[in-house]
Amino acid sequence: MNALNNWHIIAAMSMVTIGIRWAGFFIMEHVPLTPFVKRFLQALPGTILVSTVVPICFHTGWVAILGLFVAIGVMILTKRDFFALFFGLLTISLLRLYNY
Amino acid sequence: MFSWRAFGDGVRATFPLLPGVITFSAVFGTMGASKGLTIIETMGMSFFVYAGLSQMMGMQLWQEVWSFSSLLSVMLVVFAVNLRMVLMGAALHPHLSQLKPHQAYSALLTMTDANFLLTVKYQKEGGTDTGYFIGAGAILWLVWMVFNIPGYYATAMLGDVKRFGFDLFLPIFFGAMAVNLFEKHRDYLLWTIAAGVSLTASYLLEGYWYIVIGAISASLIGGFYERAE
Repeated sequence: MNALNNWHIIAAMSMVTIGIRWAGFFIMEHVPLTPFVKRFLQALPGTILVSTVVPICFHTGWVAILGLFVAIGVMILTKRDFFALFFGLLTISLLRLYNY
Repeated sequence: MFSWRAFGDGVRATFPLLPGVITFSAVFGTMGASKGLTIIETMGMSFFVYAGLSQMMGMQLWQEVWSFSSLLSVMLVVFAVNLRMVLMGAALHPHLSQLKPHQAYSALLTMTDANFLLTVKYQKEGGTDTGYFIGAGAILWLVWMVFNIPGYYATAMLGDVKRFGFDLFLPIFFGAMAVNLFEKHRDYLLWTIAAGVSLTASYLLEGYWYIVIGAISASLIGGFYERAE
């Protein structure tokens, strides 16, 4: 009786992710789109990326940082997501293959 | 506006990412099998939760017998790992508010890092059709679920995915996508602030708060930063 089964846990996790997916849009329904807010929203995507990538790579070590630089370099040169991902991950796996 | 044409473009835009998504999905299927979930439960989580990293972290914390406190801790982990999606939803508001509210909230159910970023790029290139976001989200959702199956039944095939750098798929993907978003007149300043603040916060605080703190503080400064053209 009253035991939590796997579906309860999945339902709870689902409620959290749905709430999160809706929250930002919901908040903005009630915030007027002033020039300040507009510039804030325009700046968000890039700063989310930077704030995610920099700490992760920094804490993982120089192999990650090098892989990141390769991916960015390939992206600038080729403008193709696939090549950037491929060569970034290839760099990391080669370095790990030789135990760096 | 929503058109099936843009939906198809959105589907196609995800193709370069599919090898990575498929691998992750299979790894998650393997984790589900190793924790004793049924295939339906494993795919059910991919369907209902649909957030890769937090599913994996939730799975790592999976218990044979659940207490309410362990349930709450899993919910907290899911919340913290996905908090950046609050910001993404806010950033998408101008784009998705052209739909009726119930359509916009339905579209947001498909939101992931990938279709968010593809859509930001699409908008930068002048796209306004919401079909793009929904198409990219729908195909990723489907692929994310389906490839749980081979992972679940062929657990030994994958080995250690860390060897192939897949644990760093997210930052590498984000780094590449950042190239598309860079605005010279603004981002030398804002991205330096975001990098500095998030890195500092990552040393001071537990969990993933550094993403939100770095992004919000830099974007607030971006709010004050007049476009110099």
